[in-house]
Amino acid sequence: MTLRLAPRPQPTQPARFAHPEPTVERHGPLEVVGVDVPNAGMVDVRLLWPRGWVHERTSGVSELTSRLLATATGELDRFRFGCASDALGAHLEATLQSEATSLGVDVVAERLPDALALLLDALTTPDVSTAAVDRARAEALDQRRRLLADPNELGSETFVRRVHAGTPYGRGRSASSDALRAVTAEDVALHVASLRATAPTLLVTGDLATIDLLAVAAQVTARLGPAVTANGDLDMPDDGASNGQVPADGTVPADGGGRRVVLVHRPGAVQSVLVIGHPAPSRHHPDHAATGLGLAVLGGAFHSRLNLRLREDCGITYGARAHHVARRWCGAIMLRTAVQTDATAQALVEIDRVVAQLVAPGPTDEEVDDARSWLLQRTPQRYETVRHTADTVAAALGLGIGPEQLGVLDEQRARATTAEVWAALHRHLRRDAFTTVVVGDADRLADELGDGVHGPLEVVRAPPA
Amino acid sequence: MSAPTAAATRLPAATGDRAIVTHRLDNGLRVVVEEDRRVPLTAVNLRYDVGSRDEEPGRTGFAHLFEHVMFEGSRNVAAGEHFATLQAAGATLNATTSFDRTTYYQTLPSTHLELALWLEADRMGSLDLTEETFENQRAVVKNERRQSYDNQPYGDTTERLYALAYPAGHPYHHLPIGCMDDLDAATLADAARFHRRWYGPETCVLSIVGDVGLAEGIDLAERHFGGIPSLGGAPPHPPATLPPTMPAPTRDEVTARVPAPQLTIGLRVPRDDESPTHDAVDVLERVLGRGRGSRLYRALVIERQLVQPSTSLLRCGHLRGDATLLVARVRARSGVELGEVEAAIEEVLAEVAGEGITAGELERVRMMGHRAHHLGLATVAARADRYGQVMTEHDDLEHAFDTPARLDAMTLEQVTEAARRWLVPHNRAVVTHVPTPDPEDPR
Repeated sequence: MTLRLAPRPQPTQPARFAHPEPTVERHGPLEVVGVDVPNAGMVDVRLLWPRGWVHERTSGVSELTSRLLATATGELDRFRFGCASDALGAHLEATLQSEATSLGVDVVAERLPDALALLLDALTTPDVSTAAVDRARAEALDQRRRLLADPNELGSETFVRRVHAGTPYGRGRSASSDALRAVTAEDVALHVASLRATAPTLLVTGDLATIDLLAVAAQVTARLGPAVTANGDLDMPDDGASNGQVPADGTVPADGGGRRVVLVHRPGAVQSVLVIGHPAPSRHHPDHAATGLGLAVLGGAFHSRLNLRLREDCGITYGARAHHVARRWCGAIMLRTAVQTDATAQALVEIDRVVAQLVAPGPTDEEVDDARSWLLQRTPQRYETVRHTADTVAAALGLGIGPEQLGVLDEQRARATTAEVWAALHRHLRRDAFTTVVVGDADRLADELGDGVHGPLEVVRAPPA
Repeated sequence: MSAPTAAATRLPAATGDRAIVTHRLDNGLRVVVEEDRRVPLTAVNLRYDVGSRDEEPGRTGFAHLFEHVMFEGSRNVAAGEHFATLQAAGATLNATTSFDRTTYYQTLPSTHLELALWLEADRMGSLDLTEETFENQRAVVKNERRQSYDNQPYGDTTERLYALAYPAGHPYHHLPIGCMDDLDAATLADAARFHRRWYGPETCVLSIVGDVGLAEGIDLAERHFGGIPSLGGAPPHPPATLPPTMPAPTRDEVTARVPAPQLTIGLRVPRDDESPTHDAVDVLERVLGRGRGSRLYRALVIERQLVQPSTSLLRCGHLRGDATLLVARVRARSGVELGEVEAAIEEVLAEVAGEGITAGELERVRMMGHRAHHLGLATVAARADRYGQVMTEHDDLEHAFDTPARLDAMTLEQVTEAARRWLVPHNRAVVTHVPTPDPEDPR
């Protein structure tokens, strides 16, 4: 038998995906958002507070609090709490992000009342004793030590500390060791009280034909009690703007330092982790969609310019990416890769050249169309399961995007022209403002990176505490 | 609220009323199609029955390197075009190589299903490599090794553990990533030979799951893969047979730039053939080391506060061709010596080996297993992968759905017997990492 291959199929155009249309109801102080996933066996319930670590007044308190929620209650120690959760087939989780906190559970639908009761126990009667806080602190310090030994995490931490210096975002993913050591049990108790006193958004994702949303809301409000108000927080400001530290207009300027290189010494490293970028507009900036398309051309998919040059042409990396880390009140453009140590200087030159060529003469129509298609046509994957759907909607709510606006970004991406993408890149991708973080072997790299081409060199030999 | 007891109800059965069909083309390709119209997505998964266990001496890492070059051109597809075409079509795609198999997978809008099948058929039936593309992928794979292993704290753990637990010459003695010298030694001629030997209809299961009709899926498979010649039979895998347990403990003690002491213990256990013998080990894994209700979590994290918390202190491997490993991997809390940690682990293992587990523990594990099974089949991609696995190993699709029933049938006696047989003290390969006493490196 000889090989016979069918002809290449003709291109087809997929139908536009319709985003879910959540229901929104008010139940006392609670906003109840329901997202229907027909025939889903599982249900996901989350309490969402638009308050994250950028809002904390005591650095590290929200991190320790999130470690203590969903792990034990006044009655159930961690072991018994774990057994109780497992016996329900449930997963309970507290999640802390820069601008949001959530406490949630996913479970088979008929066990939701018991699982939700366990979750509400965790919120209303957490173990925030001095012993529990000390243990959480010790674990957080161990985890921080572990993160900073990872060259990727160390690169990220160094990057955000430099480009967001002077704002709460400059703290990095976890609080410093000194800050964690200073948090008291009273601080944690106050923080828990402030969460309980602030009405969360209740997000319920599952087969709404079989879930009584109001009954779920009633179960929550009954446990949270009359102290819950729509604006009852004790130690946290109303929003990122009002604490006087987080810019509110979504147009965070790049720091005025110009180009610079920060070389973090990692003795004997066989690769250099590169994190390059600068502050950028927030998620709510009108250029967000166009900027995202442009960065997808630069470093989104496999066939993006950075990946093709560094991986497929030069063979000096396993992969490269460009992101717009777009938060509610702040953002950053971040290019990432890891290259073999002896190709570090070459990689920086190549990245500089690729970025320059993207900004002028700019992306082609075909590149923008490919990036648009890549971004838009993956949307259904974000709603494939209950968990995917809940993650997508919770992320949007955390960014201040209303449940009725889930499809707006896709519409903006669909409409953006190549000229608009090019203009957005001109405005927001600025080589002259690049902070270049290199986590690698300074003994091998300091001389060649000290030539000033990418800005003045700062060598950091001791990692952050 | 008091701790709820495990109730009789279970997570919904994953099988449900699935519309699913299996089919074998004349050239030997096995095809699974499942129709699921809930989301306009389709997953395409090709599982080739070849992995690092099939590599020739001096060519470690080759199966994985070859996985990379499969994206570098075929008769009608230029180098790099495969990825670019599918990503522009909104696909999420990649490939993975393990000890026992190589999998190529994509999830994409269902309107592009035929495009994915055409691309996969083109590279199954033909390769069009150049020295340039081969050299490039060799360099990329070497950087993958640096990124994932050589430049990571504890990155050598698994490589050291498998080298201890499997004797030199055994197919599982080396990891799929291979070693740099062998990657350097690979040639373009090796790639052509590897493709001719292992990449054909008889070594592959094609699974199509999602927004596709059953007849449509089979027709598309026939159309695009039916013209690919058979290999003349699936080649045999190299023989691999080990004694059921390790005869004596072995150790590898490492001093390295790591942030905390780490202890890794591997126990040889029966291969994962989804039989009751292996299922009992899976139960032990969860009782001992999965979740906050496990024995190791209780002893090491909560009561003695010796190790950093993890809800996965113990993991059972899933090697199919020979014995697999049950691996405990823990990092000590600040100021804790590894000797104390190891003694505490041994105490827990001895307790279970001597006394077995409780009915409550078995019930907890059943609930965890039901949940994992349900979530493990939740996406079209996960189901396509699972179907490829069970068809490769059992040629019986029912295995994809019988995990809950097998768990329900498991008895305390079976688990206790497994503990008695496999947790014995001599059945250990141990790797320790201790931080370098370097004053310039406080990590």
